[in-house]
Amino acid sequence: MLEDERNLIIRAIGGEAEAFGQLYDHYMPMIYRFILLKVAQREEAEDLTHQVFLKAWTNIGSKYSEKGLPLSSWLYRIARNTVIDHYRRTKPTSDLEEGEGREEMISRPDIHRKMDIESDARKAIAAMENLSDIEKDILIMRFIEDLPTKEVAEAVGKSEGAVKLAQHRALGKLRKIMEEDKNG
Amino acid sequence: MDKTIEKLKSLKSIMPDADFASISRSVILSSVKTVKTKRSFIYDFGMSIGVMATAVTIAVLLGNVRTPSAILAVSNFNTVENEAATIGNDIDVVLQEIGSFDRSAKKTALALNEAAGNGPAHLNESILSAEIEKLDINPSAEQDVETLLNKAIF
Repeated sequence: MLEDERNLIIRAIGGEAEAFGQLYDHYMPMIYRFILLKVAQREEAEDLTHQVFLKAWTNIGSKYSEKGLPLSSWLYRIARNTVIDHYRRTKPTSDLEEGEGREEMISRPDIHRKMDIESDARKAIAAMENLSDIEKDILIMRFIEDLPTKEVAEAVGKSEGAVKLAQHRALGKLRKIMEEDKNG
Repeated sequence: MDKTIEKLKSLKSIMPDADFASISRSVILSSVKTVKTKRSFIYDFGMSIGVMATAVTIAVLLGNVRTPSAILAVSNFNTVENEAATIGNDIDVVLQEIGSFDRSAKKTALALNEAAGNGPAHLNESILSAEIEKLDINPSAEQDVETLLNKAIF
């Protein structure tokens, strides 16, 4: 959590752009990473990240204060919904929760080059493509962004127990896939 | 640490483009300012209309809408006294008029009852017969009058 975040949130709710700017600087990279790992294209990730923060700034005075969530959880919720809406517009027949319709995106040769990341990270991304969306979301929030289980649970709308279970299952799948890649 | 988790953590090195971050930040903050300004204008305008409507409603309900000159007159105590006396006189006049209307209404009602019961006196048959009997008609005098009239004419 950002230092003096509570005060910044109150000021942002009051319409102070400078306060929201500081929250943006802190949270934007993690929301961007989260979206990029889901859509796998830098341009799309930038557009969607922009949309997320635009929605957040527009609604922080009304919807955020009503929900009483940690700001990170609220931003991840917006991000998840924005990505889902994006897929609905571009791939109306795909089942997002089951990860269908991703093969085409994963096999595109330009994706990893565009993301400009190291070999280990590439392997991790490739392995994560075999997980369901909810499992992938949980792993990103828990192990890349180091969010506590409670905040992850609030972001994905599940109980803490369900998040721990999904996290355990997802890590198991990921290990197995990486082992197979290593051996194969 | 678990190697799988280590590999996941390596993804934290992914960072957004600095130009994108800067442009997106300024666009978001400036665009929402416009929205907020419009919203506050609509809100303020609505509030003003509401306050005005409430004030007019209260004034109408109290039935005490005064002109600015009348409001100024209130500040003068003598004027208030005179105004009160005038209103008192007006009330007396109105009460007298009410009494007068009451009396004339009673008379009208009495006359209507009488007419409905007996009919007008000049059409009553018994009265007309009595009047005919009282008439003293002399035929010779009538003849004299007729002769004199003929002479005067011819």
